[in-house]
Amino acid sequence: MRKFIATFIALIISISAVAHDDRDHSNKDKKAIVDVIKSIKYGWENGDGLPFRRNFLDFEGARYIEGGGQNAGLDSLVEHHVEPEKDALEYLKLSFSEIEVHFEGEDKSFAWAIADTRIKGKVNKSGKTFDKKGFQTFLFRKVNGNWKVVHTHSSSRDNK
Amino acid sequence: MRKDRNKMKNISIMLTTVSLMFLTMSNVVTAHTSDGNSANKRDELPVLTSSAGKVVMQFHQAIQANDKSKARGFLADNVIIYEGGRVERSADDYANHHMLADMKYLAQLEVKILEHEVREVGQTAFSMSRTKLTGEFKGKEVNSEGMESMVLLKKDGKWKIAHIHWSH
Repeated sequence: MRKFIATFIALIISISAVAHDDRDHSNKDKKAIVDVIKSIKYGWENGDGLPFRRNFLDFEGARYIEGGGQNAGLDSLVEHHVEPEKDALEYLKLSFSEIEVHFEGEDKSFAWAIADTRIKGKVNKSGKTFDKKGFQTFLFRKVNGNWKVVHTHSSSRDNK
Repeated sequence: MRKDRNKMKNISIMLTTVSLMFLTMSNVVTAHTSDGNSANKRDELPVLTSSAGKVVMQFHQAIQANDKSKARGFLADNVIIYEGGRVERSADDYANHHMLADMKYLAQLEVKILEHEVREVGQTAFSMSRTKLTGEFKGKEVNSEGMESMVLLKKDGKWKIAHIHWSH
């Protein structure tokens, strides 16, 4: 009986270790995704295409939606949207809050993240400022151990 | 003595049962820890041959046909919907509130799909589409483009919509 109880306790400890490992893994993946989102924020605010090129999965048919329009493909997003904003805007402040990450699939290699957004900026040419709030969706796939953005959708309205 | 033996036997059976339960649970947990690097091996299907794409199209058709029950059936119970600056966090919330307004709005308009891409990744899929809306609603001319992103999850062989982001 003692032997059985000892085996049982050992079993419980090993199961707890596996469960703990699973939580660590999930936390690690969530942190990796939040880090990607932070780098995207940096990229938008500084008109820097590098974080997009590092963290986005470029593929035929990729679409990035924002404000009723879209960029088809990573080059279009970086060259026609992200980088030109550096010259067009005096400043751009972007914040993502209430970030929720959902992992999907048997191997948890797909994730979707949603967040509340706040966007403030000033247009160089007109001197106009804007202050908008809205929502952001990011879709990710884990490729060779790294989380890559496969789609984004951002919508916002004037913050009244 | 016999009583003790029976007691021991019962405890032993109970512990074995509990152990088996934990073993079953640990298998589930272990499955979650596996690292998925097989993305390249998976098929990425165009919308017309994709079962997830068909569900998206049927959902659109149900909304346009004013079929609340059918449209509700394509949504996961805990669907999260972003639309027009607000969020709805369940299929029932959407079905009982904004879905009815969407149905009334779309019934008055001509909806033309400009682009629709659907990608299936195992038991998960995502859909991206762009539509042209034209017509008149409440005396006002409508001529706009609608953008839609969706996440679909396959459970028990059926695709359900888990997330929608609509914007204009």
